[in-house]
Amino acid sequence: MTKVAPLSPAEENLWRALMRIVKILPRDLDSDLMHGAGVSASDYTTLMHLSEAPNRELRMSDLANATGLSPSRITRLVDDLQSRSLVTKVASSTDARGNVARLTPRGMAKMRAAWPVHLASVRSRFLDHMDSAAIKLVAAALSGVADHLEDG
Amino acid sequence: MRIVTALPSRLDTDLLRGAGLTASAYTTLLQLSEAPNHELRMTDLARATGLSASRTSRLVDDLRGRGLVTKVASSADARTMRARMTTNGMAKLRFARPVHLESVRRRLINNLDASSVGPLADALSAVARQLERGSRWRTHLGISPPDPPTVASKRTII
Repeated sequence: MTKVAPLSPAEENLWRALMRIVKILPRDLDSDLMHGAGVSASDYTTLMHLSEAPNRELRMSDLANATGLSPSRITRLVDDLQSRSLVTKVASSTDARGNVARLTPRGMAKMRAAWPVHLASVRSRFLDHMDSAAIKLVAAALSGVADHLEDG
Repeated sequence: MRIVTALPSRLDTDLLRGAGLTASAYTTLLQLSEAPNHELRMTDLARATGLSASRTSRLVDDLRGRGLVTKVASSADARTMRARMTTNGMAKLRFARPVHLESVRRRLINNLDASSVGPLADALSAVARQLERGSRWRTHLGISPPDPPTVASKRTII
């Protein structure tokens, strides 16, 4: 193992703060959505991606990529959403082997109802604790970090 | 949100590949290594790592199976179990530390402008404090925070 330079105090502070946020924020957002709209954060993300897709439908593999969930997780999630009539599974018109998940009108209505709940939650949990300069700084810095994460 | 999901999973993968530990196992060993006598009550360990009691219990059983941790009865209270780190556990942590550090550098620090690290740390620490305040309040009182106000505003992607 090559020698790695230890973190400076500022780097260490940044690291610890980020890890605290990463641990708590998803749980809080999930619980706000659950209480306020009856959908989990994964449900919400899935509905949102479908609502933005042409025809409000996506192949299962594209949906997995878009949401960052594993293929098995997305299959279970779509089955669950289907049982709640929020999504239907249809055979792909272009690819006979593939299934496509399509948002139902009820799913769209659910998404519309959940969206303000989620927005309020993101504001009160995250954005309200920073001033506009800090938000700009965090957005610029972390989107750079996120771009590199996607390289694998 | 991309960060919140992707960063932990990348760090977990890096640790697992480089040192054979999940991030939760690493955090558990780290907390034990910093405790007096290298041991903690199970409840204190759960609090320190932020993992649930059942998750901590399964994790400690797994680490015990690998000889990295032992479970001992508390000397003060025989009903309470404590997790204690073994010498193998300590060696494992020493090995994993530079792997994790390299991963943190590569995934996060190296992709930031050096001058933004300080201000970024300040901004995120403030957010983390507020989040912890909210979570503690909820956990201790066993109730949910007040419903968030309905916000009518332009559509944004979060």
